[in-house]
Amino acid sequence: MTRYVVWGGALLACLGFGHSTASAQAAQPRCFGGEAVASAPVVLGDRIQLDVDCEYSRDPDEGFRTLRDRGSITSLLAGLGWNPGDQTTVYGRRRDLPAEVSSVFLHHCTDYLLQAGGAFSVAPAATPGALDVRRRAASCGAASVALQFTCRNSREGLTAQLAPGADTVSLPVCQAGWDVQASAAGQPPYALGRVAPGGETPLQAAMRAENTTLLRPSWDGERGFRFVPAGDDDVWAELRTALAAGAVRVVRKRGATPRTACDDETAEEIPLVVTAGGVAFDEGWLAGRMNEQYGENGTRFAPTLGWLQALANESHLCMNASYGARGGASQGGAEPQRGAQTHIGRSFPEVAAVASIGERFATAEVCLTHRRVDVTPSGQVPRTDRDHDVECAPAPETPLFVGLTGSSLRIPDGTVICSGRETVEAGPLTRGFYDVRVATQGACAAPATVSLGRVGIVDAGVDWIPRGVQRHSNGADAGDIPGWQGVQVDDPNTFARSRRNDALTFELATPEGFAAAWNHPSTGAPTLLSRATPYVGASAGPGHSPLPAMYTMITADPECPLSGEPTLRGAGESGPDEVVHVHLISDDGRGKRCLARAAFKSWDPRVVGNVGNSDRRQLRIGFLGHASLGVFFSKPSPAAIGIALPIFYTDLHLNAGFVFELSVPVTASIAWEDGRASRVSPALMASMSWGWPEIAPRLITAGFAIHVPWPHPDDEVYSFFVGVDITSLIELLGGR
Amino acid sequence: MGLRSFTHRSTHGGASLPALSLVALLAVPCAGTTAPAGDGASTTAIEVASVPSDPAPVARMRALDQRCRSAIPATTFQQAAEALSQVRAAIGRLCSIELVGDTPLQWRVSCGADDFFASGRHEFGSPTACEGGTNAFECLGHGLRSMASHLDSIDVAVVGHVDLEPPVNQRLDCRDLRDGWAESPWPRVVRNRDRANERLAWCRAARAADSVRTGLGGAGTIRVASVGLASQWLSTRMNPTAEGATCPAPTTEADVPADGRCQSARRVDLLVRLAAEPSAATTACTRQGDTPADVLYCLEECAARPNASQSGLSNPPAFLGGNATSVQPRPGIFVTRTAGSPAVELDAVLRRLQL
Repeated sequence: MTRYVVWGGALLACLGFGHSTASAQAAQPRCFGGEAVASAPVVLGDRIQLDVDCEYSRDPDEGFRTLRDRGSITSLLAGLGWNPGDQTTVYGRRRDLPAEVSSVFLHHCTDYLLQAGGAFSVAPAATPGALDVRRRAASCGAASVALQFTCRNSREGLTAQLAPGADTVSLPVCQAGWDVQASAAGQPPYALGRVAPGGETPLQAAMRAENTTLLRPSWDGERGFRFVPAGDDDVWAELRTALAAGAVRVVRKRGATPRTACDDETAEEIPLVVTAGGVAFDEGWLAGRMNEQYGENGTRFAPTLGWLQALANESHLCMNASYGARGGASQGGAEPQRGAQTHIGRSFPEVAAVASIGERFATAEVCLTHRRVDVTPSGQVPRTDRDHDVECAPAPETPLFVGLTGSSLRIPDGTVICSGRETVEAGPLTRGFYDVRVATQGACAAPATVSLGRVGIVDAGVDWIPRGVQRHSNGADAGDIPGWQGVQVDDPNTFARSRRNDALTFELATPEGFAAAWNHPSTGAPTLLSRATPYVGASAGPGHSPLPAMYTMITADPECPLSGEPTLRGAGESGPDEVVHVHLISDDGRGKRCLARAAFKSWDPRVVGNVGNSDRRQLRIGFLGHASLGVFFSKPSPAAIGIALPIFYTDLHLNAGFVFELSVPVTASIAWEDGRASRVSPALMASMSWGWPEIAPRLITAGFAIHVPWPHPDDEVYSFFVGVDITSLIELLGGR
Repeated sequence: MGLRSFTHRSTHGGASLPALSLVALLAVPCAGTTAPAGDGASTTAIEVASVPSDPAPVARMRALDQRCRSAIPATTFQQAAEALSQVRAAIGRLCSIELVGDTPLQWRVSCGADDFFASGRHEFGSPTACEGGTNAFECLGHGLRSMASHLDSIDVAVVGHVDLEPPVNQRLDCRDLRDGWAESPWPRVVRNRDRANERLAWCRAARAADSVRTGLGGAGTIRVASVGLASQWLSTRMNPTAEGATCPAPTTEADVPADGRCQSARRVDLLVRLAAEPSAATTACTRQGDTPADVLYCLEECAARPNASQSGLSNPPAFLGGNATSVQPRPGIFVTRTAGSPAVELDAVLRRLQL
């Protein structure tokens, strides 16, 4: 059966060929097989009969010469030095009639033999990149034409041929395409052109091309950061569609090449939100990553610029090699399956111009103008000495700041201050945690942006808590500073403390999420924000590594211990009635700052009552007061040496270190003249003492006493007393 | 346990009531007690929900696919090649025919005026027999007739040239040819032989254009521009006052360069553009459906079609219409177009005619 078909086809071809040749020759002009002076087209299979009386040229006006033994248009052209691209017309004239020029030319249909709809069809073969060529019509001399295919740039000289009697030929893969020549009956070939495997879609071509940027970072828009299309609209439309179809994905795989990352099923796929305007990382996914980083408060954070750049730098854009129309694993139109076929992988930074993410804010700064306060029993008093201390830091580093309420931020253009999901103004800040984000108004709800600074604002009256100090519900109350409620008051500017029972230890509360932001390793903060604000001396704080972000220093003078040479005190080191100053100091790694200050006066523990509103002038009632060693001037004369220890006393602090005291002391003395005991009894004494309040509050005491004349009734019941304060001396010498 | 934490509060006011209440509770004065380290403050959770993506631009992808599949039908090229060969066979002895831009949809035809017109005349002389008409221009139109029904339009620009030898009749006018154009080539006849020579160039072009339309026999839509280019072609190639000046090739014995008499300069050039209608290809997508995967499949299927020689041919750029809004007047050059035709881009015409 096959044989009959082949022979039948050959016969038909021969008939067609013969018909074509006969009709062509009959219509040929003079000098080309006919008689009429005319111009006629010929196809590749047409026979041409030259006339010995004629001469031929490719120019109608000149260059005519004799030709012999040429039977086709291509051999004629070859004989006249034709080159591809030249006109395919040959002119002929009889030598005796040079003005009567005839011509034949290659029929223009020849150039379209391979075109769609032409005599030969070209279709994709089953193997991707391979082609099937089929002889589908006999028009334009195609029936007798043989096609010769030569692979371009083939080192092996890859060729194929469609013989005149054959209907199909399969061309193997030749990416550069095939040069095609047509010839008939062994005549010189004619170049038909080129056939090549089909092209690619705009996105496929863009993905294969080098240095193609499909996206670029953008900070515009309501929803923060995204990648917007960088080039051709068609490519962008296809990319959107491919993302929706799952044919394009973004995966994250640190240290992998695009190819390995795209083929690795364990690579993390990054969910995207694709809108008409661009591509953004999915906010829910981002929130999850923030929670992973910062704990349960992660949703309060936007990623840092560094984190976002790292994410983009570790990502890859993966595209299925085919949408299913072209061979391969998904041939037959099946849905492309991840991992079921090869991918075209491109580094995400390459296709998305990730390097430019930080360009816009490369030189931007975030600045915090600090507010400083004194925490006093009557409230927080702003300090005016260094009230406008501006601290700035580069925005790309997402700096961390800590400040007090009332501080204010200065932020770069194009950023907003977010508190949770709310946008706040840049004025004086209330207590809270603030994220400076690249966004427009209303974008605080979107974490798909970047944080350029994080600021924790604490309230010194609320968050700075004197943990080691006893609270007294019946004492004077620092009512408008909640964290200090119940702390005893010495005067409106000074808190009181008992040296025995109260320790100058403090704690710090911070706004929600702030400690997580501060302490996360990725933030690079060199200090640790902890609940305790440890006392530290002049050197680094003991037992804290890394250094505390907030700590306490105690000084004898009110100056901030960061300047000059302060007189530092230990947490419990203060003399009776001595005033010390406690400083809340921040250390963010860029510098240390005294943010808040409170003054404490050490009270004698035997004082049971206090009336007065001044450090100097106050009336106290106590027991077991200051013991004095001195001389009683009276009878027995000239004097008696002894001590006086007040059992109960009340004293009045006056200016210049003077203290007036009324007391009921126990006295005991030895008479100077005979060494006998004298005045061993309770007494009633009025005295005036003087001392140096900050060093030794009482040094010298002079008074008048009335006492019982025991054991010698002869002694006077009164005496004048001059002595030194033993208690102060002991304190002065370092004792307690 | 973590740090003592407080409820987040509004940034527009002072401390929120819950927060302060909590602080107050934590720090409430209790005689003889130290301040407790507070824990476990209530928090306001911040929920972040994923934002849905926009739908994929399926319609646009369908349009892309249609654009990919839409092309000038292959048969149009075959027919154009057939017509070209037919015309060439018909008038090839009189005129040269070349493709412009390697597409059979645009031809450059150059004819010698002496084969059709007597000296100084714009009427055809003795008939020049060819298949389909009495002169080459009519035969050209006849050759296009079979194509016309497959085309949007046939655009023809006819450019007439004269040499520097003016006609005897200084009142030369071709009143019979001046009708039917969107504008009159000249407002009035100036009695001057040089001006008459310029008018002669246009008249010959108009006569040839008229014959092309006659040959078409009313088939299809033809848009014609007639251009009288005077002796510009010759002037740019020869200075008759220069010593030893020769006429541009091909020369004849009758040429007198010193008088500006050159046969090669007496010519009529035609630019023929066949404007085909792109249509959806015969190859529809083999997959149905409107999902993103479906449209991507179809787009790839179209793009993956083998690239064969000439298959990328498209309509050649137009020379009627385009950016030109009107004919730019130039001294001695007359440009007209048939009524209803767009403006003539004369520079485009001259460039493609290599003038």
